[in-house]
Amino acid sequence: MDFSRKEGVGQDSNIFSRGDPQKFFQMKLSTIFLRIVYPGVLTAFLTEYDFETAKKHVWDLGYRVSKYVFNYFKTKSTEFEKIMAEIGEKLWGTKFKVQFDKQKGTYLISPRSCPLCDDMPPLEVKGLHNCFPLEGFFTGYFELLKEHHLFDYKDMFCKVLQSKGSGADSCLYEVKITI
Amino acid sequence: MAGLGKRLAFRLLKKTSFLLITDLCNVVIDKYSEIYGSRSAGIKKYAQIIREESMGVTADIVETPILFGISMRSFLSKNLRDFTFIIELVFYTVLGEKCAYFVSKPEYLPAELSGKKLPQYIIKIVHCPFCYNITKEKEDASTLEPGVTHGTWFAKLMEGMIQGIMDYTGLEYRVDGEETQCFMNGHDYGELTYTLYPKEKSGGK
Repeated sequence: MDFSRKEGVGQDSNIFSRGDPQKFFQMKLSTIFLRIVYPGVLTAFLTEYDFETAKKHVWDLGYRVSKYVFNYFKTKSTEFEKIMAEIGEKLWGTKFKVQFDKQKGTYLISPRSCPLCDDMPPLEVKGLHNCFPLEGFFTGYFELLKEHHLFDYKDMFCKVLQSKGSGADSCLYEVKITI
Repeated sequence: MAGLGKRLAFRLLKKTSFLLITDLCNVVIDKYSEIYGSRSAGIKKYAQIIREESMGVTADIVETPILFGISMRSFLSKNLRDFTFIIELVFYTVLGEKCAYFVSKPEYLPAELSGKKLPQYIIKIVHCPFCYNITKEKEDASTLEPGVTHGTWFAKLMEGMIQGIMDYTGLEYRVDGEETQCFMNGHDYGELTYTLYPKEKSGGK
């Protein structure tokens, strides 16, 4: 056992031997693991902060994750529906059903199984959902697509309308994109 | 039978991207570091939450049917030597065969061979999805408190899990886990060490 730092070795000197992000990306993880690393974080935010602040922190989790993800996963499609399909299948391990609501001019997205709700303990807090970080995630990810000229739009708005973790039959997200 | 079962269990369970979830964990540490004032405080806070959660979820993993309705419970044994197999089974159930890119087979160190003269398990981290992209600029490992590494939270996650299975099996040990080697400290691989203290002795915590 060696708790100490290895003398004379720079911290970043072995960064390339720590692992190949593409190999890690090919690895799939049972969502049981998510039950260990995620619900406790939600509870801690809700118990330590007022509701609005807790909600901001939870949204921000998804937003920040998108910035990490973009380093190793960039969608190839240029159409919104196809981009969502890629994100669903390759990243979240599910299928996103995307429908366009002509009256409202918004896309309605329902995952076949929601990675942040299925197998997760229910969240009985009005106004917050287990999958709320997805609002932040989609916002952050599309910002980066725009920044890198991979998908252009003027404005984007994303909202989790209902969630399985909060008692609904299925999760439903709404995205409004102004091209 | 367990070998076949672990493959079936992994195939049947719902899955998501491993890297996506490790990113989520890193983001939680980033946020906690800002909220609690230091990187060490952020990692310790997450480790504390994770340990409790993993103990609670362990029973569900043990009860997960892995073959024809038979759960992992059927393979539990009070023999400490067999425990390495259980840890391996957990890794496989959660990550599938590709878990070998992440961790190697756990090793059992009987009390007579361990430095602390207590039974220990050693898990080698072959490649690390938690720090593969953490540069010194982002997190300077030399500024972390003694005993805290970037992977402390994962060490505690596994501690909770091993403790949960020990309790479930009726083994009277208190598990204490640490990340004893870390890539970010210049080591060639990461290492998690779990020491088993008899419960009747105070042994620390």
